[in-house]
Amino acid sequence: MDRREFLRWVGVASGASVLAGCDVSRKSEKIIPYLVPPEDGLVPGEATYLATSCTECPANCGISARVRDARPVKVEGLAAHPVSDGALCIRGQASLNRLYSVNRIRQPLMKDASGALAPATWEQALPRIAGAIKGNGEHAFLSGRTSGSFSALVGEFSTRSGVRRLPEFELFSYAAVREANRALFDQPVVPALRPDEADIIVTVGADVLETYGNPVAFSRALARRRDRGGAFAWYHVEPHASMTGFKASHRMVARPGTEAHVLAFLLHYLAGHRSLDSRTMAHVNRVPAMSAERASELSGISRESLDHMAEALARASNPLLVAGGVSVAGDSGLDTAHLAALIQSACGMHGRTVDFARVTDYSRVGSMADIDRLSQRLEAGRVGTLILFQVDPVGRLSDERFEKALGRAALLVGVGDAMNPTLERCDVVLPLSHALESWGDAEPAAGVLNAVQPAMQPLFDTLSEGDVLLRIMIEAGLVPATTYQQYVTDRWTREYGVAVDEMLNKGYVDRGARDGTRPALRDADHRFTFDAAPATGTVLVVAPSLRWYDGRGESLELLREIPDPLSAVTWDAWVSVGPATAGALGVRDEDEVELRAGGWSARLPVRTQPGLAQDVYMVQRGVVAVPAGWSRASGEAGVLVGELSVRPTGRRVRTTIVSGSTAAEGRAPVPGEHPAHFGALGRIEKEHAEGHGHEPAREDVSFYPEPSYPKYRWAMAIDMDKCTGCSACIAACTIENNVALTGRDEHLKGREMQWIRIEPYYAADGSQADFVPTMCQHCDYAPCEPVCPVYATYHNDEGLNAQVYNRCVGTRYCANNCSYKQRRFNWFDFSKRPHPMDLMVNPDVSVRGKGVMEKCTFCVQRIRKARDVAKDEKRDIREGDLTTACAQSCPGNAIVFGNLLDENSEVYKWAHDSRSTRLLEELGTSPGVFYLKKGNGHDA
Amino acid sequence: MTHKTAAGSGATHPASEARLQIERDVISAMQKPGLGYWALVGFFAVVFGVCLLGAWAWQIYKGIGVGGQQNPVGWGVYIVNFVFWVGIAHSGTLISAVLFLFRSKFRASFNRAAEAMTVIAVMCAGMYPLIHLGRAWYFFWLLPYPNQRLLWTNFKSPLEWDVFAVSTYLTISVVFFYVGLIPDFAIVKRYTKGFSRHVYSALSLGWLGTKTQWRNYNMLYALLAGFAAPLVLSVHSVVSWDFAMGLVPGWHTTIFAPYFVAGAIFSGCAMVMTLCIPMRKIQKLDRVMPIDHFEKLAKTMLFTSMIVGYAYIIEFILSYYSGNVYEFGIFADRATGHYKYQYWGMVFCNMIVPLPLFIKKLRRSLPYLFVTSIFVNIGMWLERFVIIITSLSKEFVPYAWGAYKPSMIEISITIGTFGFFFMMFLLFAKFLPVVAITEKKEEVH
Repeated sequence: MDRREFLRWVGVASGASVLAGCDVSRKSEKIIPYLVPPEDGLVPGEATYLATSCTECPANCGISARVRDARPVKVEGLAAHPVSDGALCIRGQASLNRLYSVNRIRQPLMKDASGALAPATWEQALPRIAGAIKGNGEHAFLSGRTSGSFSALVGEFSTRSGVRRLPEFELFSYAAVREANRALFDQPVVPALRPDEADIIVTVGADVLETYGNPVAFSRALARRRDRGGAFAWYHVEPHASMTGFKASHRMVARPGTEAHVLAFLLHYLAGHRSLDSRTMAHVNRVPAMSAERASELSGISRESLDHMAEALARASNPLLVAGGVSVAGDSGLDTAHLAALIQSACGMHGRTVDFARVTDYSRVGSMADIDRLSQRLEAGRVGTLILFQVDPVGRLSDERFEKALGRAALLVGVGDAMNPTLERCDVVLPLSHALESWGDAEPAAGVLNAVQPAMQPLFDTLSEGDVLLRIMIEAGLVPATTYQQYVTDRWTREYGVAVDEMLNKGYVDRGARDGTRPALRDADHRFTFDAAPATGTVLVVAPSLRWYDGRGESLELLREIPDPLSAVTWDAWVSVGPATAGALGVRDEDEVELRAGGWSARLPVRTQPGLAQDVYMVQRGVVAVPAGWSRASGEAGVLVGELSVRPTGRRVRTTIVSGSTAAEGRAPVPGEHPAHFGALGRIEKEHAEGHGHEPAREDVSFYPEPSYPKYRWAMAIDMDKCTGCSACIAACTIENNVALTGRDEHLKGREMQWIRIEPYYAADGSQADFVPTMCQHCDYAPCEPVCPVYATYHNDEGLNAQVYNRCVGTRYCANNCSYKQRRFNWFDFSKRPHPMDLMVNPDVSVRGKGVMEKCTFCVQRIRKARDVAKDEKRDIREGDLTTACAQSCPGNAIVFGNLLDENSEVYKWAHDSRSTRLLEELGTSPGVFYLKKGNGHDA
Repeated sequence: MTHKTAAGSGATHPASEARLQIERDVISAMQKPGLGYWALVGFFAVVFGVCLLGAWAWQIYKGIGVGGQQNPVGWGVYIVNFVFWVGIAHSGTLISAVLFLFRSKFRASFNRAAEAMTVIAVMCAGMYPLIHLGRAWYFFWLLPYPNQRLLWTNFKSPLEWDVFAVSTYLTISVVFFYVGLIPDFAIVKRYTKGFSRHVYSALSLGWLGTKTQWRNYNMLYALLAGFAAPLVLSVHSVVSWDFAMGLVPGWHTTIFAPYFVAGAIFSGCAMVMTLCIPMRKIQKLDRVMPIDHFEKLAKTMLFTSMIVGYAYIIEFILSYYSGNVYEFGIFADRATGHYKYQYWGMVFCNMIVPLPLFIKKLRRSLPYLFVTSIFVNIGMWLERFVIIITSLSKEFVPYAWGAYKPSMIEISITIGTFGFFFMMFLLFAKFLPVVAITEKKEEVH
């Protein structure tokens, strides 16, 4: 072959390969030429941030959506938001998962001839609804809690169409609290809590760090309180076991239904130790007498603890007491709420730690009594068309009567974003856009209005909630054609006097609170009934879930993947059983038991829960359907199921418990603790511990050069007092870093992927728990680094323990050798996700293929970005330029991240705090994550 | 003592008659195998192809997750098998090189079989680090080759030492095996014709058995033996450092190197027995593999059994005296925890079962030795399982504890290697002289 022929062949071969590359079957896409930068449009590769509102729960925190290439890739707390102050909880983080959920309804559905829901068009569905509501009969509209413009629009819809607007349905309706405040002060509100002002906190059943009120705001305020210093103690009374309880400085377990007794004792004690006005005394005198002995005997809380709490409360100058959640739900729940409100009033908490002014509006939210009335009306055949708007009473209630009654409506119209048991029963189902695809607004607290603005075009053939309602109204000829965007923006200017641009830029408008005057106490008329002997025996508590609230987030894969912080269970449903009860039953983890109460029964695997009282069983809302009834007195949905019989079935059920052990096992997994070494080593350890302080790294031990950090040493510090275990960091990290969701089967094999985790450790008697957030510790002398044969993991000159995915061959020695067990392996190709979950990827972070190791990178992509910005501005990276996803989201402000070499940095201060310690320090790994051990003297 | 003497026409002298007998015995073992034999080879080939290659292909296609490894147990039976096969491979060098240098006569009965076993076992062992890799197709990144991106391997990593230890061992084993075979190839050549004759002729490298050849040959062989002998210590020491260099409680201990070497010799002797006892029977090699020699092997096995037994005990005592809760926790857990059956199985097979070998009668009973060797093989596999898995499953952080269970794929691949091993050994037994003819002849005076 000569040169010419060679070239000829090369030409033919390359031509052929180019032709082969032209795959005509692939969808052709336009490439946007980028000669002139778009003025206000999309800049490829550049992120923009949109200020909008979280709509996962009635707390409505402000969020900032990070938008890359016209789709949101991450949501974060909106900085300086008057309610949530830049933080976001686990459920808020998971709202991105709701947006990209595979379960989303993609077009309108209508029942066909066979009675099955079949795809339809808006043009078919809307006239059907419009026709129905114009027709004869009584029509009704039921929604979840609404606020702001949508609430106004529903009002307009109702007046114009004559469709009756039913009291809104929220399972967590705060009915008892509102009823108590109505009876006592004529103000049926759910007061906001101000723990930052308090010196004593008493919480009764209210899981203020999980679901009660606004947990993000509470955690933030608690962190501010701790920052302020000074003595402060937190007492928590609960019948079950909650994360909130374990975070309190004194957790007291009351027998279910005896919380009222405890509060009655407190009230009488206060009456004896504080001077109360005559009107309050009139109330106190109506409360059945309750001595410490009797309260102790009935509740099971020790006399000393009760006295301790009562004394502290009586002495306190600025106490905060709140009752709620599971404690106000039972038969004596209204009494409990009443007593709590009375104590609030008696101690002068109103206007200081208990705020009646800047409250979340629950005025249109009904109670279970309203659902009961709806059932009756449905049964009587008096409801023609029933519109169920973004509400799932069937799924939330497990109430057979209601389910049956629903079938009596002439036409059931369901509106929602994903299929649920309520929508399955509907004749017409309209798909809703996610808040990140919608215009709207939300009112988290009186005087604050959040903007809701679209961050992307709707993924599917869906409409925003306002547009759905407007389109129905337009179709019915009730209003002229318009859009919801027009409606809300008009309303912002008209009602709030805020320019649209300002609203969209800032994300909220804060008109300030009403004057926080103390509500006036009315005359006493409540009859207390709690003193009738409380029910004893075996009880099932249906607890709210940190992860899916009342059950609404139960179908989100992200939340399913994250372990429940108390039990470390991920995907599965389970029943929590106290160690003593489990011992008596002869069951251990993963043994199946059958729970039976009345006509209801369920088979669930056992998970032992330290700290849970004898004969108390606990399941979480959402994953286990329990008909728990409701309280006639307050209308609050029930949480206690009495007369429970429990029987081990003898079967073992493999359950997704991702923790090996939740006991310290003689080791020292909690920062500041020391392993229970024995013998001579034990003595040395003890002396070392008593002499405290870190042993300086010896310079002569290593054969290799010491790591040197010329400019930066990225480090993290975590305050164990402030960390609540709320797991928001896990959700934030998982989304930010494209961490794979591996699914239930892999979790059963112990192959969870999260880069950060909350390790719960319980004291042997279950009285205390520590929640330890751990991630890659970025050690100076990382054990993972020397064992990698190919340098896929190495130490860089900024202190990062870097992982090069492309170089990794997958020996997994690094994971074996990691003392903190923070490395995660891609056992399969986990990067492929079903549409539209495949869009939930952060383009700044590579997805990992099968066979490579990964772990926390300290959000290296954010460091990169900050470096680029700093370089453009010809300076070094400064404190405040960046933080990691976990630290950003943390509601408790428990995590700081920064440059350890910068003496003015927050992380430097924390790392040099007297409480500062590191995990497994005796191994000499010298981690870059510092922990401020618990007990800075505040929780005296 | 050349082949000329042996091939001499007159079988008059009793010694030369005996030498000829050895030659005939060994050569007759190489006769064309029957259908049954081929069926057995085919069976093992199928086991190898389906259980190992098939399962491995599936694993590469799906990902290493088809195995049972998880957080925190990143290494499973693949690494157990690796250490097991390296251990098996050990007795080859021991019997050939070390006993050669010590002039132990009984080596001649086994050295060929042991060397063949070594070569095959190192192949089996060498497969496992590759099978075990998350991205097996990039295995060559473990080799330090010059490249434009200036990527190098990490010589701090014990896994990198392994690459060299195992490849060196394979090279030396193959060379040693081959060099030992050269004079025998020349003998075999004379008994074959046609194509085989050409092959054996080529393999014998023109061996004539001249005095000069013998002198050079003996020098080379002694040199190679001297070169290979330290490998007995080094290879398994390096393998033990795969663990001992880690920070994992239960691994991080200085006794690992001698402990592993003793274990390797122990398991190697057992595997030699497992292979040679049936071979002696099937190939009718009673004359060339006398009971006395098996007895000596049994003594070695008994001795090393006591060394590993001592190590089991001393590990507990060391961890107790350390006062370190992590260290002692692992050992307490081995005896009482999730893997207690494996642990006590190991103690039974490796410490208890060999003890009756103190009785001479039992040492000389081949069926008894065969059964014992099977137990020891199992016990030594369990030992590696216990060391690797239990240590990883309960390390420093209780939250991260977890239990590992091998998956069907892992079990299948494990079985597949045995298929490969026996297939190769059966082929060896028919195509190569299973006993070193020339050396055996030296024994005849």
